[in-house]
Amino acid sequence: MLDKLVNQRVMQVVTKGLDSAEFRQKIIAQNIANVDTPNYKRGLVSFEAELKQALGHGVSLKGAVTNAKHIPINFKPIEEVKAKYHITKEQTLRNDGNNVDINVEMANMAVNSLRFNTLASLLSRRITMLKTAMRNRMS
Amino acid sequence: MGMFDSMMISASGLTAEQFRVDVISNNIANVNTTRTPEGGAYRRRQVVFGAREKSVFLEELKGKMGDYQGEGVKIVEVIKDQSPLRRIYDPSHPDSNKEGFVELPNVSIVKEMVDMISASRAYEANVTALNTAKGMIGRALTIGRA
Repeated sequence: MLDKLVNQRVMQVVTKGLDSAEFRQKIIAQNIANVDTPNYKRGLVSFEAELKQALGHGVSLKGAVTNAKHIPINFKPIEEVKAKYHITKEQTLRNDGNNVDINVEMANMAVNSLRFNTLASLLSRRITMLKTAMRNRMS
Repeated sequence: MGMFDSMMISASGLTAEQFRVDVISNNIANVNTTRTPEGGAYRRRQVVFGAREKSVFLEELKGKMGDYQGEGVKIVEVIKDQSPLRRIYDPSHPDSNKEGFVELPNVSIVKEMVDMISASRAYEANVTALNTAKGMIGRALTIGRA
């Protein structure tokens, strides 16, 4: 019973989001540190698209999984969603073959940081809700 | 992955850009140097950056080659610019040759200034990245705190 209470699906999804945001921060830092390196191609982390697909949003037909032997159709269990790292192959106009655009990286970093803070807030509030329910009173 | 990898990557960027500014300052200081230990006028120095890779052996050992990323930037080498030196006619210069020409360094102050601005901006960007990572870790520590 305790496992279902503490390991809610929402918290699992949010935790994965937090992990992927941390990973993305690392790759953005890598891109910024290599802004002057010849022939360096920027890396990027994809996660939101995989998560959306795994949760089955935007897909009309979703198979129900009511037995451990059922094969999921059009959605994946949360555990299998992972942030993926790609190296871009975008061409660049720069003479040194480097395709890092510092403005894009700074903007991505700001967005990522806000996303991380939002998810952290979400997780915090959910935990507070649980604590309130456990305490059985409002203060 | 490690919480602090991002900060170490940004730190490597800071080191690299600072080193680049050092090399640029050296070029500017030597813009009129006609005597060097290796003989001849000073040649402009240039920094070559390279992406720093994680140790391949360690990663294989830990069984994770799938998500191969990188660990920042490193200085690969400092090369001497091989473009021709400036020659001016000045017989009164102590280092002028028989015809009265003296060779001066191939350093252009304008180019060095532009490089310095670029290095300075890159340094600031790395500082912002480091602060962002620090803020994220700090925020994560407050999850669940009353």
